[in-house]
Amino acid sequence: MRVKLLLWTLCSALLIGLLAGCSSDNSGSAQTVDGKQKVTLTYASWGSTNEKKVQEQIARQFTEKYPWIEVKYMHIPGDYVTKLTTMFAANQAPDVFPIYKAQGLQWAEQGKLYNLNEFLKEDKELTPDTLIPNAILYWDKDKVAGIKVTEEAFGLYYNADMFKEAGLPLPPTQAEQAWTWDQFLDTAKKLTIDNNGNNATSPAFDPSNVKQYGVRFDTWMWHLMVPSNGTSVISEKKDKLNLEDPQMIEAVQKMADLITVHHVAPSPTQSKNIPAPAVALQSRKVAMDLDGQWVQLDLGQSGMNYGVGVLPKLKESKTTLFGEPEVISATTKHPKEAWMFYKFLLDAKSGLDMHASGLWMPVSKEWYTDPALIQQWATVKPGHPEGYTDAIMKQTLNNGVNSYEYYLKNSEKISAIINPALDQVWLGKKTVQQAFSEISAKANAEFKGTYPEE
Amino acid sequence: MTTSAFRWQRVLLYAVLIIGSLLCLFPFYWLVRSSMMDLAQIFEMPPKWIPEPFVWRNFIEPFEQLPFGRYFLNTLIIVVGTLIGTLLSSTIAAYSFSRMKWVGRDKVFAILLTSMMLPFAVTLIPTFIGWQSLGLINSYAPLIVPAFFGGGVFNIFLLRQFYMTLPRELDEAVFVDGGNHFTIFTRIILPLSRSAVLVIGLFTFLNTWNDFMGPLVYLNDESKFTLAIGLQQFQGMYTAQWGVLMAASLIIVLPAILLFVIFQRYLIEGIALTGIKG
Amino acid sequence: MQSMTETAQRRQTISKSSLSSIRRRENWLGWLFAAPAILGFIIFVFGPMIASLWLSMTDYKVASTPHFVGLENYRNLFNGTDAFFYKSLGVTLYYVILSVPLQIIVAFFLAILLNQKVKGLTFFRTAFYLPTIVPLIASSMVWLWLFDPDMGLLNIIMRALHLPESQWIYSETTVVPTLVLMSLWTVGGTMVIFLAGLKDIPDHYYEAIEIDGGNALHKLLYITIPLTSPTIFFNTIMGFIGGFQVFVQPYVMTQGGPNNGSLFYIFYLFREAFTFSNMGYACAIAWVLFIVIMLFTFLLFRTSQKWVYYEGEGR
Repeated sequence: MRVKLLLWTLCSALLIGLLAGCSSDNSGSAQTVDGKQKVTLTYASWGSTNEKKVQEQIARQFTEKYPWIEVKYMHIPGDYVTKLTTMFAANQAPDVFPIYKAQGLQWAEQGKLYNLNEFLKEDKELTPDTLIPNAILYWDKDKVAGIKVTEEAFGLYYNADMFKEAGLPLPPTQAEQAWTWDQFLDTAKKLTIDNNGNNATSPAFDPSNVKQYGVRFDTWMWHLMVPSNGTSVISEKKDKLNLEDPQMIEAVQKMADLITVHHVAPSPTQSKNIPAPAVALQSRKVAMDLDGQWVQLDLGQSGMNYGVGVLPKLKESKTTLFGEPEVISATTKHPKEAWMFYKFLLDAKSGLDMHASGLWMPVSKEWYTDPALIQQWATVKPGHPEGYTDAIMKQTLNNGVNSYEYYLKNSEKISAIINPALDQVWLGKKTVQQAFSEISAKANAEFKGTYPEE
Repeated sequence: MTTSAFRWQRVLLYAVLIIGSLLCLFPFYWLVRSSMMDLAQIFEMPPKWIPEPFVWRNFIEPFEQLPFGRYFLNTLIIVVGTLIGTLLSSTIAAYSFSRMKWVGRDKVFAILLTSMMLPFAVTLIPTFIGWQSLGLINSYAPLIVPAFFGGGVFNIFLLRQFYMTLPRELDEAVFVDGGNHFTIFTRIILPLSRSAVLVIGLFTFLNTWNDFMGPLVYLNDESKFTLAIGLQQFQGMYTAQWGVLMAASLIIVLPAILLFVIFQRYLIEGIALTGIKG
Repeated sequence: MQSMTETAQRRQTISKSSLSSIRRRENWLGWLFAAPAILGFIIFVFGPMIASLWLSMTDYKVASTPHFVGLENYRNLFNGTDAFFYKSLGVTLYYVILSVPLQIIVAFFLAILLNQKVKGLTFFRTAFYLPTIVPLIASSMVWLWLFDPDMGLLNIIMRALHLPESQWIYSETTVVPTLVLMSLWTVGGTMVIFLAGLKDIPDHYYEAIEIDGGNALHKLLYITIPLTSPTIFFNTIMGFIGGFQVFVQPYVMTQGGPNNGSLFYIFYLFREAFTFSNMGYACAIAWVLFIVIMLFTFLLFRTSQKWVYYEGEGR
């Protein structure tokens, strides 16, 4: 019978499976190092190839320091949440990993993450006082989901040569001297130039043929100016979204007007064909960029003459903070060791290269106050321009406000309602007030309360 | 048919083919162009058609940043394994579903078809848990072994459609000569459906070659990663190295293109069925 | 067409003879040949399917213990609590109805052209197939530029021809038609299947038509289409199944926007499952789609008996 071939196929398939199985499963054997039980931790993260190298280095250094703890680093280059979700479902979550803030808080609520307060209470080295404000994410009273692994803060980045050529004063770096919105708008207009060479203050300015924009921003940062207008996306009583608050509407409308009224910023459509912010500044597509400090890595590498100022203000000078938390999974078998590694990760010394490159910002306070430590990162060129210590570092410490997602429950779902409504605002089809009032009821129906601030 | 009408037809034919192929080549041309540019050039407006200067570094960088050779080997292991499995098992299954008569055949086939109708997003986790309980996560087994069990309903269905068009008399002639189903399968059906088998071979190759989600979910060690995952690594969290990404894409795409150029010949050569049908 | 009826008659006379004993053995041999596929289905598909069906009746959020909630997830879908459900179903249906017939026609037409004896065939075939090989992560950049309303090539051409410009993927109303247009670039796969099907049509069928004085249209209607009908049928089914499950374009290019204009079903499902962690609910969403696709496929199979012609099946 020729059924043999069939059987052979089946057998070989099984064989392949078995072979692959044997080679993959070799953990769990009890070993001891230095008289201590050997422990293996898994640490996962996203990031570019450069970041990956630093993460691997951190894991290696940690094992050198604590030889009985081996850290397996797992790089997840894409679909991060999908992969993590799958691993969680199979009870295989990595012990330590960074996660997007909204997801992290939600997962903590669902019991997927370890309550770090258990360690924070006891730990002598790492306490809330040693950290910069806004660094700890609570999902409930005394329940800590995670601590930001690096801080991220917004500033006003610019191409200094373009300012010089236009004969304009550079954006101020100190909060007290922050530009008013009108000063900022006026500068943006003067730096927006059409194909005929007219700038946006000229009556002959042709908004449909803009060669160089005064400023750019990402529309997912629609709430950037809300804190500066003395309000928040969440109502003061924390019982609903502030979608009808005139202050909030004004703050968002000002951003939209940059695109639809003044034509000094590219619309989301136009931005798709403007390269990444760093290149846009370098290639003079835009003169200013409202962006997070991470852009400094690319700006520094480009070799261009760039600078940073504080964000313009509406009522008071503020910056929005955006850092993503590092967390420990609730299923970890070695919480104590995971916490040791966690602290090691948060220590700016461990990833000093990344901090010095401009990509990361430390979260422990002493790195913002001790001059000897500051000069190890915040003044290192080319990743940190002149004025960085004032415009970003001090601003983060003194005037930083966490983005609303750190406090809003169900924020992913609420964003899924707000963002489509805002699409029409960026296209100039609706005012912010119209857009918000249309979805207010729907968005508030998804409002499920807030997370505590401490 | 008059010669002038014939000539007009040819002109029209070539016109459509040339315009169509230009349209189709455009994205590829853009890929090639961008792979030799730095970031500023890529986004210049109005766009530049020819890189100036040529940034050849983009082609070196993928090899410096990532173990591309290793990824290539890994991808090859998965692709070859999947190809063998798919070609073996889908042809046999399709034969059964098209040229053998057995109780419940069409019902079973209809049930198999449903496996394409449930979105991967919801079967991903149960499937993952299944492989995990076998201890096969972080191995190539979840990526290869399923190919040996049917090789995908798409392929079975495609081959079934082709097998069904082959005349029944062919089988009967073999039976009369004392042959059995296995003889029909290997001597008649497989050779006659060569183009269809090649088509599923090509599709299987490309799908496996470009598959990102499967390897990403099932493989944990970087030493086991594939080219498609490597490609994604150039798209960082904050910025994308577009030039390098394009160069890396081009490197990855080239073997696939080469394969197609070789393969497509078999679509025209064909086998004259005329003699058999008579 | 006469020769066909002749062969059919001949076939019947043969099958009445001594072949019946062989046929009997086919019953278990057929199962055996299909066994790997059936086994594969039971192991790799059926288990996860049942699991997801059960999860669709729970509040499963991944890693938490699922609680049985009965049909609540399904009720929330249909009673309008979730405004995205009907929206995404509408978007997807619109796409499917527009794209499937277009793709089939274009692919079929191209396959016929590329089955002619023309110079540079290798080049043309490769060119038409190329867009399906280039990964979308790389080609999406080209598309974003082409579709740019201000500086994109498409609107530049429209302007030059004095045709109305479009917002392409940047407007709620044109995003789906634009994605349909874009999908025509990747009909290479379907085209190759058609090519393989066309190749099997013997030349003498066409010669017979020519002798009878038929023209190209007659050849198409009486030979090409009937004889490739199994392939057309296959591509139509696959077009529907694939069209309902479009995911990459919204995921990479539009993120479901603008204003949910491209909120494709699988994108919506994926977001529920992995961004919102509502896995139980996502399973319910998936099962609704499963039923919809199954109905479509069933109807197509039903109608297929009227128009699909299998040489190998005496009918």
